[in-house]
Amino acid sequence: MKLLVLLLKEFLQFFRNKGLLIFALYAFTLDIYLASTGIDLTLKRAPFFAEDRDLSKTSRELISKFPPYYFKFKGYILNDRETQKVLLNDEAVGVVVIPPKFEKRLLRGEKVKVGVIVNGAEVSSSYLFSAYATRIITDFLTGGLAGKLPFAPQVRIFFNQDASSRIFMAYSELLTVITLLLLLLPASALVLEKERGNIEMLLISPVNTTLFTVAKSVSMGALVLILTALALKITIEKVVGVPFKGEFLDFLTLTAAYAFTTTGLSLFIASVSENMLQVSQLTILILIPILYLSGNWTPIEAMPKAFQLLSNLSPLKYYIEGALSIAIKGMSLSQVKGDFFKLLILGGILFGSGTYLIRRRG
Amino acid sequence: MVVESENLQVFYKKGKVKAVKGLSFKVKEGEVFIFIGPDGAGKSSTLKAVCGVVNYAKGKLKVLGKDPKKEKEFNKIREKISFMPQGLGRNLYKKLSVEENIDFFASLYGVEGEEKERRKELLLKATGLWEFKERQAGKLSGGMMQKLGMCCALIHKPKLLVLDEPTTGVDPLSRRELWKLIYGYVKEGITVMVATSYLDEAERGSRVLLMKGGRELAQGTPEEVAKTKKPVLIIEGEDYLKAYEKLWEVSNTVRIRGEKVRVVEEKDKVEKALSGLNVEIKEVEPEIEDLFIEKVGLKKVEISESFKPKTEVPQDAVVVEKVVKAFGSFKAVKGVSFKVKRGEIFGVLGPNGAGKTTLIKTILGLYEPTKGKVVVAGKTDRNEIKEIIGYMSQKFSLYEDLTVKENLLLWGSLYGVPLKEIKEKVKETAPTLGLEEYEGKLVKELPLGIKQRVSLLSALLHSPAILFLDEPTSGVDPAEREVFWQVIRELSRKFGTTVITTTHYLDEAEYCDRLLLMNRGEVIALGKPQELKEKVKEEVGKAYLMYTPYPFEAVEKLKKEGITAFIYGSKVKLFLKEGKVEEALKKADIKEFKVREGEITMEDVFIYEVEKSSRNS
Repeated sequence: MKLLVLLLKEFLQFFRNKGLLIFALYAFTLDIYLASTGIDLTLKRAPFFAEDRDLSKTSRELISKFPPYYFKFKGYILNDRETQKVLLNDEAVGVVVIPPKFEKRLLRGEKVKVGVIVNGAEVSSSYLFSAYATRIITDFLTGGLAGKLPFAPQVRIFFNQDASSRIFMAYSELLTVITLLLLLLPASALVLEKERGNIEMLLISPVNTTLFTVAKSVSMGALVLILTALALKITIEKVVGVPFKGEFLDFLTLTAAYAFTTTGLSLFIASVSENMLQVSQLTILILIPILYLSGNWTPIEAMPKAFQLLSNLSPLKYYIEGALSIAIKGMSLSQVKGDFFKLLILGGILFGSGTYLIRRRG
Repeated sequence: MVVESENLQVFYKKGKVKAVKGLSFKVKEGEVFIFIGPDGAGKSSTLKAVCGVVNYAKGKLKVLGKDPKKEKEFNKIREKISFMPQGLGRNLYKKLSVEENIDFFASLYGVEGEEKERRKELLLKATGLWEFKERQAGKLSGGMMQKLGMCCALIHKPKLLVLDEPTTGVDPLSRRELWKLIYGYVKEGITVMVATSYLDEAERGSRVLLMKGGRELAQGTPEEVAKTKKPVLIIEGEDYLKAYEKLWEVSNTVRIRGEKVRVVEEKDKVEKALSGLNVEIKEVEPEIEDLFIEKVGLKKVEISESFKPKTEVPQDAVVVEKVVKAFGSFKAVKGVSFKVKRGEIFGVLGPNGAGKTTLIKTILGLYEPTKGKVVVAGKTDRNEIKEIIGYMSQKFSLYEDLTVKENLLLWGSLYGVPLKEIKEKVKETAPTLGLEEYEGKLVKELPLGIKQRVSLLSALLHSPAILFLDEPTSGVDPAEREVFWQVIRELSRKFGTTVITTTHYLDEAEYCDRLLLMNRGEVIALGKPQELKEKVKEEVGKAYLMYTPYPFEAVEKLKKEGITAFIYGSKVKLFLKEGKVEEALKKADIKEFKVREGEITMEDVFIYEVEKSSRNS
């Protein structure tokens, strides 16, 4: 009965807090939409110049092989100084340098070198630029040979056939938003009690502190689950138009386990914060390492050894593995039960110590 | 004329909130002009409009001959006005030292060199802050912070000093010193405007404007303002409780004060109503509170049987034994002992920082005592008393974003009261407490007085046997306060509910059966209000109020004679143990005066006891 009353109170208070409500709705709709349609991990219309010292038919043909969807050819330049200038002024992501006598040596069958200079200040696009350019140049130079080789690589992409980064971005942003709100909501609900002084009344009343903490966690977790369901059904499926392959309920069940774990962290934030400002600061402080270590932004295998070990502590790691498997690969909950149980174990520890800290520190 | 206002109106939120609804007043040079009234009366808004901090919406306003709305013109005289905002040390930089704060304000107003040093020394010595000039402002006590605030406001010799609730939350001793400081500058020709919510401070002004809800209730000298239409009567004697019941039939201004009844009514009507009862009827000077009550009117409150405590508590309902509570090296409560009897209304009085709240929280079990023992309802385990006690803290016991009804249902069910019972209790009590029309409203939209009643009701839903009240009625008007205390008295007298309350409004002490005066964590006095006053009377003598054209001079002369005396508005308050007062005054070489017997107030008791305890230690 008391739990029911407390839950009802939390829902009422959440829906009356206009600011928080708008923020939560924004995070689960517009924010995901913007991230999935606005952020693209592929190369698009990358501006580049050619420093063509050969000025031959073949050199021009090589430049024409750079497809306009990925690249945008801005013109020829004549010397290294200009190359430096366009890169300094961020006019180009890269410059393709073709040496003198390129055509002649090629026809003679001699070894030729083609230079690709990229603008390292734009890390990801320059990285992609150099990879794409290398591929195009190699294809061009070995073009005549292709038919004669004894093998031909054929790439097939599973789960996301057109290799669109939209799918990844949509889900990745959803998981980030879920994490943020799970860290923020229970902590702020608890600290608001502290800030307004209601916590004293509750400590004096016969309400058990644990019951009270559980009510906060359950209600906020339930809210996040509802918002997640809405985001999946509306934002992701309808608006962004990204398919959801797995079972809807499996995804939500896994999210519930994740909510349990992350709420534990949120309780920790609440126990050490005195006011809302501290809650938001700590949320950011905890959110960032969780995101970095989760493998959401960088593959875990690419991290230094120590970080790889630390990443085992990030609950988001298991959630991402499981959630993406369900959403993109269409796996079932029983196929990702490893992640599910790891979340529950980690959650047991975090939630237990979070509740303990709240009790002890009031 | 320093300030002239005609039909002044101040609005907020584009006219949606009307804080001041037409106020006319004139402040003459050298006056102490007091705006008095409960929270939300519009005092701050009026002062802010005078200082040009907010723009007034309608009416006329001239400050030192200029209109605050005409910014260019007003900027020329801005440096002649000093404004001290509401709240402890709000105009100070807490991380700067006392001296740095003053230096900052001095350079802000272009006071430099020798002049600055001279004034700084003068001000700091006058306020007793000279020896603390290295200390950080944030580490001063409330009273000292307010004094420093005033020093900063006075460093450039303003013509008009505007103080917004300078004495709220300050201990009585510092309060008296602050007033002394104010009078000191009035002597030099500064005009002072002060806002306060302590009604008993009205007497300290040369002119008073009593406000409520943005409007004027009365204006004039303190005596004029307090003038009621009907006489103020005090009824005392054996049958005072019967008299109290009877008087409700003829008047709506009936109040219990200690073991007396106070009423504003025609004498013959009262005599007729009380004929046959063993009581004595006496007419007294009206106070501002009487006027307030006469204008607003009261209602008799009845509390139903359902609030009768479900548990019996022992005769000694609360026992506190040598309790010490320390936070690190700081001792907030230093060895306090007392017993509260079942059914008693027990008051813990003291300024901010005296240790009242810490003491209450220790009794409630929110803090473990560092030393000593607390027994509540015969139990020491705090988990066993949770259902027996009720707790109400003025600011915090309600959820602002829930409605009145939702709050009541929530708190009731958290105490395990069935929903049906809560609804019944609310239905029964709402009309007497005047809550009916507010049930569906969000708590944050409620006026302060209503909020406090809802808060009280929510603490009573589980019919506690012991009720704790933390500063329950600060900032509400006297009529609201009366309703509140009527409920408390009903509970205590009818059902034997024990009530422990804290307050820093010393005049609230009159509602309590017994009082514990605290200062700096220590008990300085314990007893019935009347006893405490009698004791002071025995030790320092009777109180007198003297009217004279030269009050400052008179105080000096009396002090030379070894008579306790201080400035009290345009009057002098003095204590005389023996002999005729007129003779003593003549002996002190005071020529023009009028004198009448005054009353020993709780503030006098407090200051006397504090001074005595610090003399002894």
